[in-house]
Amino acid sequence: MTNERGRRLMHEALDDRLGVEAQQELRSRLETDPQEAFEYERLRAVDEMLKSAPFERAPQYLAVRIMARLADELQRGRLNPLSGTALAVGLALGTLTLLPLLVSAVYLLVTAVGSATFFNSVLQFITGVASVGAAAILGLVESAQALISGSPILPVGLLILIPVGVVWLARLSRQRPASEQKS
Amino acid sequence: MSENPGSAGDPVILEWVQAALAGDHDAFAELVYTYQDSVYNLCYRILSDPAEAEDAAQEAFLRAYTNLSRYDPARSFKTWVLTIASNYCIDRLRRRRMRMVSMDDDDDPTSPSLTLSDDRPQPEAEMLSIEQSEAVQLLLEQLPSEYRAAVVLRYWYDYSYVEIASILNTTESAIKSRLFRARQMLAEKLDSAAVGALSALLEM
Repeated sequence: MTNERGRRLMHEALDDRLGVEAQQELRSRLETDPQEAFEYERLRAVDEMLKSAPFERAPQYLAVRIMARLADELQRGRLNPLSGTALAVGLALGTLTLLPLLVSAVYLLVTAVGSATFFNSVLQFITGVASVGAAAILGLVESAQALISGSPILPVGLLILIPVGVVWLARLSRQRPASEQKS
Repeated sequence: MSENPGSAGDPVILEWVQAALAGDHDAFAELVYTYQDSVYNLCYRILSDPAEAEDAAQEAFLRAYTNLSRYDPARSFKTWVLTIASNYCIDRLRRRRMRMVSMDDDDDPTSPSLTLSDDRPQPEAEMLSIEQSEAVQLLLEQLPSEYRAAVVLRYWYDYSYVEIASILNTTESAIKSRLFRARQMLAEKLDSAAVGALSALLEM
């Protein structure tokens, strides 16, 4: 059975990367182990086949078609070596212009309305929204409690539904999308 | 079969690059004429389809034109353009594989040497060359895209492990391992192809 060392020597021999000692080691291994010799012959056949494979020439007029496509794309403005740089410079300039404007606007807003009354009203608004949310949750909990006390079988039903739901979700997640299955 | 990688800093090439950057389309056309065969062969060997290979070669040159300002003159222009082409082809192959309905059933090649695409009479040497090219291509098709690119760059362009690693943006040891596995896989495929050809002959 060919081991990793033997395989490595074979591949390196095919790439002409073996030193004299390693070459001798490979030669003696091939002479003593028919399995390794057989594997080396297979690899050499692949190597020879690839080395002798022809070089595919480009179709006639490929260069002409490339230049025509280039001219067409340039005309339509889709290809411009400078467009990427221009975009980056434009974005940088835009940011540099907008940033001081934004900072000034925020500063003006804060100083214009920067009074204790304004911040107080903001805080009151936030706490108002939060208390409405809390009241809604409390209402939901109370109605759920009323429902459960009215029909005690309901929590048991819900508890049974939980494992069923978990199993259904697990099966659903195991189903791969159709496109993935096809590939 | 393999081409020389081409030296970096070739003054003629650099002159064409500079002229193309200055807007000279004829200079870029010279670059296209010089490297079209190399780029097309790489695309064909990775994509296995002449029409797709041509489209990919066109796309590679358009990308080269768009990114010409990023070309490092210390590097070989050919290696640079082949880097663009191989990355584009690998991406394209991945997208194609995602789209493909099925690739494992009826069209499994049993005997590459029995495949001929053209019935017209051709000179014997040319016919043999076509047969050989198609046989190799059928085997290459069995390899994953990254392995295929490594094999093509090694055997058709004679690049070293380090150069292939640089082109495919990976490490030298990864390339060694890809070539190692690719050869093993090809040897197995070649065995089954030979068995297929033999059984086909016995049935005759």
